[in-house]
Amino acid sequence: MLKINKNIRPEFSLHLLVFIIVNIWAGQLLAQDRVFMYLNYYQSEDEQYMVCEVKYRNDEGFQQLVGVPIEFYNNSDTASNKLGEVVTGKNGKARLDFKESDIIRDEDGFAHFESTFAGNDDYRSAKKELATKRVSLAISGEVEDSVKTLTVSGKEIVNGDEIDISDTDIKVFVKRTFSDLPISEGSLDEGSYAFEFPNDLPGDSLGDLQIIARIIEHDDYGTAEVRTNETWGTPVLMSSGERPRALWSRAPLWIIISVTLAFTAAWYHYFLSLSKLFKIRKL
Amino acid sequence: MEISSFDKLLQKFKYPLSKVSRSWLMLFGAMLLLVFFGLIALVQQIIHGHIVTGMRDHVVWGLFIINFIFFLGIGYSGAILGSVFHLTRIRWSKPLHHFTELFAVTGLIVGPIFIFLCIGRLDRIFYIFQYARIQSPITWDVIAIMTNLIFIATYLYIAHIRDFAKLRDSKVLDIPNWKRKFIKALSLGYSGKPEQIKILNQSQNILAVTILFTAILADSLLAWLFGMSLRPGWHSTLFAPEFILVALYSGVAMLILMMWIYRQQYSLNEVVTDQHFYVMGFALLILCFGFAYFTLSEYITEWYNVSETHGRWIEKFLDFHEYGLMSLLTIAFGILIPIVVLVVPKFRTPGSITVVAILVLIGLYLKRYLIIVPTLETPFVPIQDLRPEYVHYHATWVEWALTGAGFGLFVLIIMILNLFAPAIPVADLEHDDEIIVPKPFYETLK
Repeated sequence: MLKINKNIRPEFSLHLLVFIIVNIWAGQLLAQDRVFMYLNYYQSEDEQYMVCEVKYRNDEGFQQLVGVPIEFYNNSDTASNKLGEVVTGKNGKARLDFKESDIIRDEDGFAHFESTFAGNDDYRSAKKELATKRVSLAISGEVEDSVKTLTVSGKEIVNGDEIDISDTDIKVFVKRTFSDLPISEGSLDEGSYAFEFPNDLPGDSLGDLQIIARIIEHDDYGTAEVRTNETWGTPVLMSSGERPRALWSRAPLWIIISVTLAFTAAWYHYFLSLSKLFKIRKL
Repeated sequence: MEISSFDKLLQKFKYPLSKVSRSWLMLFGAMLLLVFFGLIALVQQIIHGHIVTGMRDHVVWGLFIINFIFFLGIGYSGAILGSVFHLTRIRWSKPLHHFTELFAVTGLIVGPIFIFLCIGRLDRIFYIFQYARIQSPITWDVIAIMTNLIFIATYLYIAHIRDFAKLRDSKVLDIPNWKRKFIKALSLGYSGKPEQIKILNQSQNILAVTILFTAILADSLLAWLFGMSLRPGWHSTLFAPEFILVALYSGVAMLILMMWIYRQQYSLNEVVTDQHFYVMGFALLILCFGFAYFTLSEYITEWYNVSETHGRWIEKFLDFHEYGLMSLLTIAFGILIPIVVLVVPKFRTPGSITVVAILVLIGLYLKRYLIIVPTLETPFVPIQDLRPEYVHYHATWVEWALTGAGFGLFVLIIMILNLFAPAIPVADLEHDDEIIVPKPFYETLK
């Protein structure tokens, strides 16, 4: 039988209680996985959005944290404006779209964003901050003596003023079926970057190409892009030839006639044979 | 009262025509168990879907389609053999007629069942008719199989009318009343009047010609389903004649097996004679040479083709980690052993010919496996980074259980049909001059 020692001192009991409480708290903390949060900002002329990606790490490496709520804020010196709350999808990402009118920028043109995860029994809380400026990108094309020159211009917008962007990397792509094909990369110098456009890119049936200029994960601008169409590709004509054995094609007449004749002949003889059987009973 | 030799022959079929024997019941029960086990597997497949089979995205056909081709081959060959026997009036073949008709009908009933097992969404089965495309070989095949099944079932019935009449009038068998009434209805009042004989012959002749035509066409359609694709091992102009030859080869082997089983079971040595075995053994040998020729022709043309995909495909037959052993067994069972046993006279006995027939059936089943699976495991775009079961097909217990059920059902149907008519056309033999003992042509040349 368990015997209780009645000679335990009160101060020892207090130490024991504190020790147990601290252990429980530490145990809970250790039971929770650390969360890694990444916040990115995307902008174009028509849209602005943030993507927050959350992960945790286990024995098999980084794993996506699925189905947890992420809160998005736009902070200023005086207030913290909640933009919305989004639950992470299967890829562990939460995307929040917003309008320029929803947010406040400081006098330098920065908008201060914050994403937070409150944490739960299994995962610790996490927070990420980001400050970005609004930019305006544009693409213009010019053909001179059969040489096509594409110019990308970029300006940042501060309190309604447009200021040329400099020393900023920019990449130019052409949209293809499965991904974007990079065709040039350089740096915006005094607000523009120009290069000679290749002549041999296949376009659609009219030679149309969708051209994309993109600043990627810049410290001040996040990811910014602009898209435009130019008829600078080589027209590609898809074969419009008839595909006689395709699922949607019609059966050729000779097949219809042959199959119908063959089976009609067979079934005619079958019923001829059966008709004779009926005569047997009458005889 | 003295009874005729033909009534004595009929008496041999007292079991199961009058009543079923204990051995009949035991075999019937065993086959029912096989079918029942298959039904359990089918329930698993319906509940969990095709994931319980070994079929995946790349190997979308497995044992089910192999069984489908095997049983249809048996069915079509039975139809062709039965029609040829009847139309050519080969007198010695008369005792064998019902055997061919029996396995023709049964093969054509069991074969298509495996197509239903292979379809994931059976609730959409009517789409085949609703959205039928007349230029599709699959549509042709569906029409052809149904047509043939109806024709051959009718032919089986017509071929038995004389036997039904014989049974109706016979006093030597104590047939239960309900069965006698049923048999009487089936006999259509046939009494052997000259006009009735003439009309019945006409009816049977017309249907035999029709079946010969449709069976060859239907088996060719089955081959074209494969031949009209571009896949290595399938895209071949030889496929249709090869399918017909392989079907006939398996049909003759099945006929020999049935001859042996019925001869042993019903003591039919006087009717199904040793000479029948020698003649059918000789037919088996001729078809064996044909099979060897087609096999050589099929593989050597593919081997000579140096395209990358064909190369990967043919290597599987030479690699003992893949299909090397199965290829070797197919050649041994389907070509080498039959040639050795059937060519050397002292090896030729009814027993050895039957063993060869069984080996041929196994070899030709393996051949169907080699036609289907290695090709599906060899796509034109090589498989990368996929799970092993997507690359290599392995049949699961569900597929084997349903395969066993198919063979069980094949035997069950024949046993049920045997309840209503003798497996030997007794009436036909009675109206012939004598029970013909055949001689192979090479003996008649002496």
